Amino acid sequence: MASKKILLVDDSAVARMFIIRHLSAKHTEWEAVEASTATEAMEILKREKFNIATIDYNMPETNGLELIDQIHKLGYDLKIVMLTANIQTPIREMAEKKGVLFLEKPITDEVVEKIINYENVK
Amino acid sequence: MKTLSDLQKDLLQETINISIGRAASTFNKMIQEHISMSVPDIRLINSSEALDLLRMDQNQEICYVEQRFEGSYFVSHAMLIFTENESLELVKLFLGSGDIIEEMSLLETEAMNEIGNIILNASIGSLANLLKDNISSTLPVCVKTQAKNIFGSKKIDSSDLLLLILIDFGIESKKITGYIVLVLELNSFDDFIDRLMQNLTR
Repeated sequence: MASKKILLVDDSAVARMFIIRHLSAKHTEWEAVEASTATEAMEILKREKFNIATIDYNMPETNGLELIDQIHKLGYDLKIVMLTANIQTPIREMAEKKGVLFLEKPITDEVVEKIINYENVK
Repeated sequence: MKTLSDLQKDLLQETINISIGRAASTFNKMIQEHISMSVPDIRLINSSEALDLLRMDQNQEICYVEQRFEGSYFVSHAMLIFTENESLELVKLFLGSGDIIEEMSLLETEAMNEIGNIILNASIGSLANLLKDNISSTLPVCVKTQAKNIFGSKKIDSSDLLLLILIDFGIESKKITGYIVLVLELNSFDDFIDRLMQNLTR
């Protein structure tokens, strides 16, 4: 039975699917909830608690860094991983400055393991 | 017509090799297959000449993913292009086999968008890092059309001079070949070259 929850925020259904596929196969203790926009993610966060959120950078309307700011402003207690194809140094630096883990796509098994292991990082 | 000096061409070739090498490495992680890539073909051309460089029949049905990137030194239309059949093969490789195969047609566009997003961002993101610039991008758009229409939708005046960078790459074991095309608008070309010179030769 799932005892941990992860929020997957990415406008790509395929990207979300890769993470869910890996969790279903190897980490059934994790329940994944999907959001395709920042607005949707904020709505979900209002009513559910999560251990981790993965957040894409390039999304319609609100980008991932702006979403992280919104989450921090409201004081939600969860670990955040920025998971993006945008490998530019300034984006990585801005994400790390906000105290989140920055990981690059593509989403491999190794990347998903890093995401869930991040839950235990102090 | 303005031409590239040997030094400029060499500088661009080295820069693009680094950027595309990053894209190839990323692509390899995605599909677990060896990726072969050509030396970049870099030319100053009119947009009307661009199609001739793609070794494709004008009526060939293709599938491409496009993103527009804009920074301080260049505006680029970046495209990842495959024939329609090969794009489907690529999607199968990307998604893997198993219980999702029946959803393949539903996911094809989504998957191509994600493939394009990852590869084009690896290429342009690496270029941005070399330029020490911050580049914004549009979301990826997947288009199915005929080869002759590729450059028709770019809102580039047909008389504009463009810097076109063409790399053909393949997954030999699967007989899939495609192109990465980076079209840089030339009004910022001199600044772009100067910036590369500053950052790569110091």
